[in-house]
Amino acid sequence: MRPGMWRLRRAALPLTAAALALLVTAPLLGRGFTLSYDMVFAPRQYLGPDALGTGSALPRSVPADAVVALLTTVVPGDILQQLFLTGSIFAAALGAGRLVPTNSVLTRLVAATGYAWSAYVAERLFIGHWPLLVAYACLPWITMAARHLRDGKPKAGARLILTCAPAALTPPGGLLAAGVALVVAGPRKAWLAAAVSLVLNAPWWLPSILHPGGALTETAGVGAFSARAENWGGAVLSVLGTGGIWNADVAPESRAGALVPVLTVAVVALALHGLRAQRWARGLTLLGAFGVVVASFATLPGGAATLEWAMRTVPGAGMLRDAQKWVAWWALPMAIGFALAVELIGKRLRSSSARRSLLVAGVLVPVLAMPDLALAGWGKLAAVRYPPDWLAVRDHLDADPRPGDVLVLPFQTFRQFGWNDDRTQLDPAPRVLPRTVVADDSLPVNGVVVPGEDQRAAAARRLVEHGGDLQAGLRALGIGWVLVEHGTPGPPLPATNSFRPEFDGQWLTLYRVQDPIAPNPIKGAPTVPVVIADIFALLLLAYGLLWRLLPPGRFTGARRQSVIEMRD
Amino acid sequence: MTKLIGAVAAVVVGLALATGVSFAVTSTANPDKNVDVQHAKPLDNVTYGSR
Repeated sequence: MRPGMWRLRRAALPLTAAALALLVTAPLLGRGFTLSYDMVFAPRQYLGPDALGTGSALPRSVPADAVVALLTTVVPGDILQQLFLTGSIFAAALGAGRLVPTNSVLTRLVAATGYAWSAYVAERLFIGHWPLLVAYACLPWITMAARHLRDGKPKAGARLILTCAPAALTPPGGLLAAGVALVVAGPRKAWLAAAVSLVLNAPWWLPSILHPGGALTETAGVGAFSARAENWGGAVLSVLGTGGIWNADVAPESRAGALVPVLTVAVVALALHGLRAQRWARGLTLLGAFGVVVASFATLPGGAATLEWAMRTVPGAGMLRDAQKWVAWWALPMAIGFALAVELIGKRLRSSSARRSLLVAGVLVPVLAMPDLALAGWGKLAAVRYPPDWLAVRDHLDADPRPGDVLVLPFQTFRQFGWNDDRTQLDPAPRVLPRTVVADDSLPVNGVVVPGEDQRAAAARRLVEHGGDLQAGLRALGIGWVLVEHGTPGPPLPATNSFRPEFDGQWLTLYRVQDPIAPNPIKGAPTVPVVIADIFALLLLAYGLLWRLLPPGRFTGARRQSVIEMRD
Repeated sequence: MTKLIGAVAAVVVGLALATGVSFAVTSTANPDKNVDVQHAKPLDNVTYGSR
């Protein structure tokens, strides 16, 4: 083979991965923030108790918020967001492509496109679950690392640490990674995979256990957050196609197409055919099947009642709410199996051009079946800049030495600002402002309001909704400021004429509560053990990094491995 | 000229007929009959999403 051709073959996979990533995120690149549903980034995020999981709320975005807070001290928030989003799609495609056991570049490209251009990526991107996208991107790399670990290859432990770490930004991501690591590492090395997962995920599971309010979850959301039928094929078939997220507003329109269920059945059948001869992928396939069952469980007879019972009695079972996320386990074997099946069928064709055409068709199928993931969902997402009011309030609060946290009004979880084209988004205040923000954490879905879990927010809601002496009530809750956000729908505001305005702009008004402000009476998880858990996770990450970078022999495991290799 | 006028007239009549038929069908079906205009609340709730 000519050197130029060889280089082209080598570059084909990374170039395709980059093209796929840019095809999705190109409109979001440049300066500006993509704010959609749960995805909120800020120019600079602050390391408060909620970011560490020691605040009054359950640690749902932990340690993601802490990591973003640390990274935004050196990288602007919008650039960091673009790196996370584009990097996730790129890494997902590249990882899936590299994982396929084949010599054919085109087969790798089929797997890359099938994995990165999936309903899962589209729906989780549009709803703003970027840490899940990061975890999804890690899964093929974790699979490779765990296979190396099982086969006793050098530095496999380091690889496993480094590939699992980004996935552990949030609880579901950490568990997705742990599942793959445990299953692929095999029974003999499962203990190592379990130990790595336990330490890397300690920053969220320890504060969850130590949270004074417990980790039980409201059962009201089981039905509202169960997998949804995106077309006539029903919920299970939607999930099998890696879609079926509960929120119809974030599902690409193409998922409702009449041919989608037929295509899903065909791809699943092909994938299972392609996986038949892959012994190494059996655990991964079984895990994928388990993911499909968990994801669609609430839609099966008796499933919702069982889940409600679990949430009432088992701490942490709330992670089974919005269970469609667990279908990420299925997405990887499906993409790999589909690619291998297309290759197998291609081998039966006589002419090489027909074989190539079939593989090229396999590459194009996911994109053609869901073209509305391209260009950030044809404008579903867009990058916007925060109005200057936000930065002015941030700077004001940063410079003011007086104590007190911030209550945000209107008292509801989501916003629709004109400056963000009325897109539904989480209130940005908790991530933009340098102080702890008390905000509504209930979730209104389809006429049902799923109550929040933050006791301080519940107390603030009672104050705001039922009147009384707001000043005194806020002081007692440790709230020193009230931020009113304008230009977004919301319930009627309480009277603020007894408050002194300290900033009054087009989009925001900041009021000061009369001193003295009491300390926050509602405690979260204790700080010391949580920080110790964070340090242990960081030390393990540093250990993995050094182990990977330093020559073999500097770490016990690696030395032992080298000796074995030398004896062989 | 006559043909042009005839064509324009046919289009206008056709549009009018279509409008009339649509109006009649809508009036008969009354799709908004369950909307309580008297007690309608202003938009005050941003939901997480809909199923």
